[in-house]
Amino acid sequence: MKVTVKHWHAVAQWRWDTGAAEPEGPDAENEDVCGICRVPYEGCCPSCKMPGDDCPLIWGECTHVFHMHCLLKWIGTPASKQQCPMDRRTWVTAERKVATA
Amino acid sequence: MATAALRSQVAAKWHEGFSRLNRTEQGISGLISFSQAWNIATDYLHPQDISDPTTVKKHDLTSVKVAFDMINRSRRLPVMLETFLDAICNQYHLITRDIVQYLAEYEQSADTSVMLRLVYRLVEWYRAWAPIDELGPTIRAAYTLTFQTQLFSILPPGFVRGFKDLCASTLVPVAQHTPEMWEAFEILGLTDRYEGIIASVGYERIEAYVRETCTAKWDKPCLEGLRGWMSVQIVPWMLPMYAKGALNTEDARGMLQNVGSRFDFHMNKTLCDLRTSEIFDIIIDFPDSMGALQDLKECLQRVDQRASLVQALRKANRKRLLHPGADTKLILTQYVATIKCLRIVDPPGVLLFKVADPIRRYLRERPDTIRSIVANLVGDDDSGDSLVDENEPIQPLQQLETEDYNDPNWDPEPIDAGPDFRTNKPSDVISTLVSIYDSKDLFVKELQVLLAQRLLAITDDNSEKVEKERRNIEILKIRFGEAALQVCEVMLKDMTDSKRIDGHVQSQKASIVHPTIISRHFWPSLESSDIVMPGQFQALQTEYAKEFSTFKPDKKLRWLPHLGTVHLELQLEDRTIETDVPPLEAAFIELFSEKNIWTMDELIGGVGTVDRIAALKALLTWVDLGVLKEDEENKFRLLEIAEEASPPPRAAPAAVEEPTVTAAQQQQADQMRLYWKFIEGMLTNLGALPLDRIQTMLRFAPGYDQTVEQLAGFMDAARREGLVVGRDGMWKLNR
Amino acid sequence: MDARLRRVNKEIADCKNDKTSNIRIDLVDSSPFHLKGSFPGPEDTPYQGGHFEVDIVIPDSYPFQPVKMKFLTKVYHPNVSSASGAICLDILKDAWSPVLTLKSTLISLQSLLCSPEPNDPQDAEVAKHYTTSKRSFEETAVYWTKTYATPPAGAADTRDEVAIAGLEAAHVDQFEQLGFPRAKVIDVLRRLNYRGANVAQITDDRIVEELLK
Repeated sequence: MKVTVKHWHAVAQWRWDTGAAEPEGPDAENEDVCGICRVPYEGCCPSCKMPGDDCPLIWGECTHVFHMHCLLKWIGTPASKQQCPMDRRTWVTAERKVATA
Repeated sequence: MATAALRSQVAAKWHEGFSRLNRTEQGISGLISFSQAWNIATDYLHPQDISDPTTVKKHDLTSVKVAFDMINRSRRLPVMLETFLDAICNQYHLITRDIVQYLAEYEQSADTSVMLRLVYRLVEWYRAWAPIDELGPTIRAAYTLTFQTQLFSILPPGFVRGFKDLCASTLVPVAQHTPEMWEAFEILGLTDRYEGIIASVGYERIEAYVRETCTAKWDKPCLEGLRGWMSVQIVPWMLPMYAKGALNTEDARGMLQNVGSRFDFHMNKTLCDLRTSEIFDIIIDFPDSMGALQDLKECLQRVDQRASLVQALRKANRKRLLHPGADTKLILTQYVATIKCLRIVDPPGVLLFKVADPIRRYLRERPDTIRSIVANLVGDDDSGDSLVDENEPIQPLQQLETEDYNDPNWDPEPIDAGPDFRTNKPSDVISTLVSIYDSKDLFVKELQVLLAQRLLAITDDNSEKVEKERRNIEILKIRFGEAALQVCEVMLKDMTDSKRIDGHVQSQKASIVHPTIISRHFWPSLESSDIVMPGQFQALQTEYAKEFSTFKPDKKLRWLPHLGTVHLELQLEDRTIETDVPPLEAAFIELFSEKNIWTMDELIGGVGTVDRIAALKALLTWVDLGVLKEDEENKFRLLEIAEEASPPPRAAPAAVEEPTVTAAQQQQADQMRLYWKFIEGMLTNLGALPLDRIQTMLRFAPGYDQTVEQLAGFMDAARREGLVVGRDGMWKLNR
Repeated sequence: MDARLRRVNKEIADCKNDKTSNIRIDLVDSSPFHLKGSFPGPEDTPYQGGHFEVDIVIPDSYPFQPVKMKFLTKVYHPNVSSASGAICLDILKDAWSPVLTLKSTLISLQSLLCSPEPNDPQDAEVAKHYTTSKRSFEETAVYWTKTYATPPAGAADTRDEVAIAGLEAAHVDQFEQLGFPRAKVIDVLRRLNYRGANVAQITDDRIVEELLK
């Protein structure tokens, strides 16, 4: 017998490729959240309504990842001293993975 | 002495009596002539038997008058009257004899003309025994009274029945003899004595007519027609009795007003009772029963039957609607119709409030109520008929507002409104349905589940269907608010994004895979599955995912392999089969392209993990298609060459109907389980707590949106599981 | 929903779910922005066995501004005001970061109890006591822990005011016998840091002078 797939309507979820090892299961607990708003990366930051390209992530040279809008809001406050909230090093956005909107 | 005095007193009396009777005549000639006159008079007055002509004497009226005159002058008239009335009583057996005879005839023939003849006969008796007018009205009145008193005392119960029949016989059609008959009644005093019976004839006629002409006729109002009928049929009948002595129509109208109003009231009440008894079916028939509802409204304003209407409808609902046999959809439809109907009958909504309460309580307990309402809202309903009028404007959900004391149009609540009556500003049907529950969140959740199911079912590239859902959501947004449906927006956007991404991926590297790519956290929880697609499927997935990541370098795909549909072509030795199957079916048949015989366990192992019932179901799909055969239990063989007679199909395992998206209620239970830790902690720290306290504290838990009822349900479930005990409204851990 | 509210709710929940950290967060009233945190005193410190409560106020721009925290429980610690409970800790001020949570901040407070920083004091008198005699300081801190931070708190009348002030009973008695009120003696000796080696450096006259003020 030969099985030929003519058309496959499949269903998938998209995930941000944060480089971190992915937790098992589609809705595993302890999933990665943005350290600033505590909302999962695949959710959207408090000021957005649409996840994904409309509410992208931002990667720092320090490898820390946040919702872009959350990080920019933090960097915008004088208290931040332009530092990464995680390690207090000066924030430098990593080149490689700025989402192309 | 004393005797002498007595004697002289007696003598004086005697003399006085003597001279009165003897007048101033000589000797005792006066006495003699008085005696003669007395005899003539009493003989004249003596009640004769009119049935026996031989006994009827002729009197010389002149001498009779002279005799009366003499008696009068002797001031003996009262005595004579007494004698006369005694004679009437003594002779009344003659009349009794007649009555018995007539009634016997009537009993036999049931012919009301016998009754009429009896009445006329009685009048004959009355006239025959009546004293002459010269004796003056006092004596005449005394005679009439005695005659009637005697009559009423001897009339047997059978007469009343016959009398009623006689009256009734004159109603349809109005008989010609009525004026004489009414006059006869009047003469005999029957009108006054049997007024109630005469009226009941009218009432009963009205009742019969209303029942006969209005029962089950609901499309047009009946009241107007009934009033017309009354004025043609009942009023003329009433005229001789109630408007006797009227000089002109104006006069008659005035006299009839009072009784007419009583009859009109009775007609209203009869119609009202009829409609009350029919109310459940009237509601079913709505809007074809508008006429009946308008009548009912008008009747209720005249007759205070509101309480019995409520009672009747509640009873009918209990008996015919609110039981396990009734479909939720049906209950909803009837509830909506009830809302519309009772708003016509009673715009302030008091009746509706009272009737709706049990329906709403019942619906709240039904597990599928929300699903039914939501399904109807999104037009996902087999019956196709919507609870909502198409021409009803779509509007935001209306919250039951508290009373506005500054409202210049404020009206006090109707007097029969109960203390818990909420001024129900006419709101739209959907708002009313949603308000069955304390929060609209449940609806929104169910809506999301339903939308997810519908969107994922769109297999082919059908943007039209997506557009339709989008329009649906736009409408629902007006009702439920933007924020509540934000998640649905994301789902719809995922649909269009998927299509766009697929377009791009296909343009780079054509693939037969066309995935719907969804945003996690925004779709209702999808049942997870651990199946791994074998063979070429895995290759297809990997290839597509790679292409996707090239297009979206910061993203990757995670397949939900159990969802979706596969269109396959199977080339077998003797035939080619093309079919659409779920992924698990496709995975299994892919395995058969490696070798022809597989055991169940091998197959399950070949696709990762899957529960046996689901696996069996998938395999039976192929057995049904004649592609596989279960040679022995749990061993399947590929039929490269079709077999003639397929063995009796193995019975499909029960309970395989699994929705891909967990129903909201299931989710709710899961969610509650999440909060169990909070509750446990609370009860550990604080000991026993009342339900509302637990609810208040849980409100601070993130994402907690359960109503206190839901919490109550959960606590009850926890009690059944032996986790908690509840006593006197306090809950504590079962330790 | 308000982002701040959402985050705070989540934090409270996370904290409740975490049974290992011993950190508790409770509501004070109906507002989720005014909370009460609590944790056990760290082991092998003078605070061991104590239960410390912290008043938490979430500012409007949280998490972009630090939470406001102060001890509700009286703590004898150089970086905590013995009077007001105010805390001197960098992350509550300019070293705040939005990735810090209520729980992690409370854990920081817990570790602050382990490692006092007398060079950056909140309470100068306590800091002086610490630098003058660590042993005496610790005795007082233990006494405070027992008095204020131990659940069945000792009744007020059994409290030893002298121990609370971190002084020697003999010193207080000595000046009280001169006719000064006991409370005043305690107050002056505490202010003058009349402890350990300092006792030799402070003359009785100086103390009497203070007492007479």
